Amino acid sequence: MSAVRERQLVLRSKEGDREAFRELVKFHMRQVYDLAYGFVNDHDDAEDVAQEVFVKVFHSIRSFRQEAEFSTWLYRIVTNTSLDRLKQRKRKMKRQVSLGESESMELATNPGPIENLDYSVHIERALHELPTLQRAVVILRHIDGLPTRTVSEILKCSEGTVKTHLHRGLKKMRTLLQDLYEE
Amino acid sequence: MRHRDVWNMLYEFARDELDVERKKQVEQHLAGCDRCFAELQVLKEGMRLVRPRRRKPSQEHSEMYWRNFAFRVEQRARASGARRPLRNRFWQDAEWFFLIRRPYTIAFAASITIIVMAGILWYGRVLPTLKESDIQPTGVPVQEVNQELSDYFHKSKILLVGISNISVPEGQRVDLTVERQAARALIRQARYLDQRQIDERAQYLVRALEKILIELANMEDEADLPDIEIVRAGIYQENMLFRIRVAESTYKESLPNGVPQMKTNHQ
Ligand SMILES: [Zn+2]
Repeated sequence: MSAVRERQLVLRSKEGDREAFRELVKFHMRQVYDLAYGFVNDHDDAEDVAQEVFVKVFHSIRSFRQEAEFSTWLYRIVTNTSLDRLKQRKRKMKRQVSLGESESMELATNPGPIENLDYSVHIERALHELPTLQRAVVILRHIDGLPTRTVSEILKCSEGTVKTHLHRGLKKMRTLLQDLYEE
Repeated sequence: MRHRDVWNMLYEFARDELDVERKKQVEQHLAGCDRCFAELQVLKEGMRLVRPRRRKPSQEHSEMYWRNFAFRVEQRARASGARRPLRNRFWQDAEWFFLIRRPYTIAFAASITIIVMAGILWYGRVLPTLKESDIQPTGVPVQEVNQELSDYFHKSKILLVGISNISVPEGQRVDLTVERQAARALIRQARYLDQRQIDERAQYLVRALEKILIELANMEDEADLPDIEIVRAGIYQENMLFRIRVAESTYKESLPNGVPQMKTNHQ
């Protein structure tokens, strides 16, 4: 989609045009999903986050200022919503452990293709060892391949900070993953 | 060039994203600096271990899933109290209906007849029991909800078992009008339930089930084997039949003596 077209769609969505909003969703939904999945590493949560993101966009698009890039604004919402979800999940896990619940209905997490299972579980674990900002940078810049500038805009920090966090994050991931692979 | 400047460019260098001039500068520095060279090796090793995915997570979902995604977003936006309803509900529902409705020709498979009969029997049987049962003197709202949940899971079970058992001769199409209507009715019931105070596990299951029902509702009236396989895959992947059976019996058992098994604030 061209930048001009996107601007038009955003403008029309701001005026309440549902067709335009739908087109924006269709254009960005997969990327939003992939990015959310990078954070939450679970298909059910990724879907829920992705939908929540677009609902937020729907309600707040009128406050979006056109001078910013729409996708940057969107990814910022994805990042925040995903991080919120991870916090919720931590709280929920604590609660479930304390309640001692175990029921077949809880076993619904979707691990993805089997050949990638171990690999992604390791990465997920290692990622969770990183401080939040470092983790966000590694996901956005390295795993999702967004440009440094975009990442800095999403996370509202300087490009230098992005680079430093990326560097440190990858080095720490290396140490953590090497330990795992050498076992 | 200072070490610090080189370090700032190492990641882009390793990904070969620097412009020619900068790349040359970094290469020159690396040739004469063991410290930065070692740092590059460490970084590369980290990058290699944290591989970007070969297959995107979104690719795990079917085309049908993505076709419905925007629709589900709109549903949810509306449910969450859209500040400015864009059009009224009737038109949105009508629009959805016309969007998915396609002209159909007739090619009934024998199994469909059975399902139609089952559907008629089930409507005839389940609806009256809803009225008669369950309103006991000590009845609290939670029982009513449990009854509705049990009823909802029961109907869903029949529908999904039907879909699982349909046999489609290769290359032929079957008429799914009845199934789609049933799915739409269940989606409405699910939305209604979702707004009631149901416990978290039930809510989770109702939502997972709703996704499958939406896929079914959005199919063409005439479906071929691959279409049906998509819905079936969803059912198997989620272990849906088993979960529904567990849930149906859980909510049924909690009914007769007015001793609901769930946590509730009503007592
Ligand atoms: Zn150096």
